[in-house]
Amino acid sequence: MASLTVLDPGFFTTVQDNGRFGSRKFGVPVGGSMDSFARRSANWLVGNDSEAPVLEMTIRGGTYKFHDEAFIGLAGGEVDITMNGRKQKQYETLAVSSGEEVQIGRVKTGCRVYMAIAGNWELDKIMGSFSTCVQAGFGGLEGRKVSKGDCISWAYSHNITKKTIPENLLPYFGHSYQIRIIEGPEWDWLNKDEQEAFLNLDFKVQPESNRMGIRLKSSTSLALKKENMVSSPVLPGMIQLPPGGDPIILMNDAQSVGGYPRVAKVVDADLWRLGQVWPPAKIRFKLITRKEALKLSAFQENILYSGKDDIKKNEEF
Amino acid sequence: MSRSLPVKRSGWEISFLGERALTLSPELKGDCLADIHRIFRCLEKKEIPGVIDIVPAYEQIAVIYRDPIPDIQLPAKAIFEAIEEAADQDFESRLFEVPVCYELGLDWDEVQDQTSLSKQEIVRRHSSKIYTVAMMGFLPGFIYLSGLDRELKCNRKEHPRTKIPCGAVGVGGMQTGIYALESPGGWQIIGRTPKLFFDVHQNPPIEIQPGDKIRFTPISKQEFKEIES
Repeated sequence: MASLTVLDPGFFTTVQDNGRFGSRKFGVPVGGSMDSFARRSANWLVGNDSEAPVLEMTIRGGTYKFHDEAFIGLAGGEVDITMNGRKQKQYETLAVSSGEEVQIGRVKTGCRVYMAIAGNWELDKIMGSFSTCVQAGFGGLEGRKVSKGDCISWAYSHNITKKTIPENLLPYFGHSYQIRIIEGPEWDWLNKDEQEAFLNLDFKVQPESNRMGIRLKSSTSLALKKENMVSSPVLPGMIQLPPGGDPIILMNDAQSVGGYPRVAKVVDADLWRLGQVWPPAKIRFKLITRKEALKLSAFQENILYSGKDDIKKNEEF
Repeated sequence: MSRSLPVKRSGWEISFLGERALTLSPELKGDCLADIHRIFRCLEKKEIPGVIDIVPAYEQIAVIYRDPIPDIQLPAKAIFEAIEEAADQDFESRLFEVPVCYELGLDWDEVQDQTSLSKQEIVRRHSSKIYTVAMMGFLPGFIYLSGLDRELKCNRKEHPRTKIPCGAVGVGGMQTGIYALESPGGWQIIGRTPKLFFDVHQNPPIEIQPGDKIRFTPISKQEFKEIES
């Protein structure tokens, strides 16, 4: 068993995999990595299953002392990485020697960086997942964020082919995002003018945003006049419009039912981008059809894991 | 650009909820919780291939699939079959006796004020009803119970608490409920149960299911401590 010790956990680091399924009826959030494409990329670099757990580091990565040899992969927002002080490249497989300290800096683009380690992690699954649910205190490392002195162990994987993420699959995270949406069950609660406004406004990402939801504000409030609705099922990506008129995009750790109108839903294929938005980012929505959304999903499903390494440039990505 | 129309059969309609989920709602809204629970149980038993989560709420059930759903007809057929099977089935609804120490309530002044009832009367009324587990949500293991005595209706707190102890029993609007885990919340807290409902190391983490029944039994502080230890 190989291991590392956390010397500095960064700003907010948790263990996340592809999420927790089958327990939503008990009010358990899906959880999982906010930027699922970065989790896939990091795992791909080290030959892990795409659903395997990774460390999700928000804003600043921290310092990790490896007691054994390891292969690691870092994806997501752009960061500076050093190993015992030597600068390393991101987005390619890195070989860490026993005793080395891996230092991961502050994100320069986006807000989350992901570290995968080759091999199976020595961690218990809670309700079928390794993901940390901080607000309820379970999963990952005892249900909390990673702290100084924590130890992570894994079964060392030897046969690693070093890889580099193809340039056309390197994400770009700027300050303004166009996010594609489809109509939600209560889309018609907005009148034509309000629908148009919704699609033409620039929404500013608010600092209260977190793994539960991304809070938005625009120059115009979209307060609905319609009566209250009863609590109904919601999913990550659902855009709620509370009475105040400032939309909330529900994310991975959101509740399973909610009482605000579900005016729209971010397409699954764009959810990972939202895992990287941070103030002062701006969002503008683009309405597409469900059919188009399915096409985007189908392309992303197999990305990096299709068994073929000849990834072609795809305009839709 | 428009959403596809819902498909309807047997008084129920199915619509898309994003790429990987469907919602199932009665054509006639209103008091349909018992039907929701019956259909929810039937869908669970059916183990429809590709379904990863089924979430009941007051007037809608979400059926969530692993993969995107290209065509609504095929999954709708399986769901409608479950609805029709459920129509002539009674599901097993278990009754859970839940001990509550009303002495450990945090908002007695406010609740007595709002209801214009004495504490004794509130306890009597609250513990004499049998409640239905309407749904769980908001946070893991939060149990929404329907069937509250009308006179016990209370507004939610103006300033929600950031921390409510696990097992807290509260009243919010026309509902009562149990905070199975420590969490923030805005309901008026009138008691606490020593019973542990939510154990994350078990799968499923909680024995109670939507559709089950709950009755509260008043206990003293002394009894609370004994059960807790």
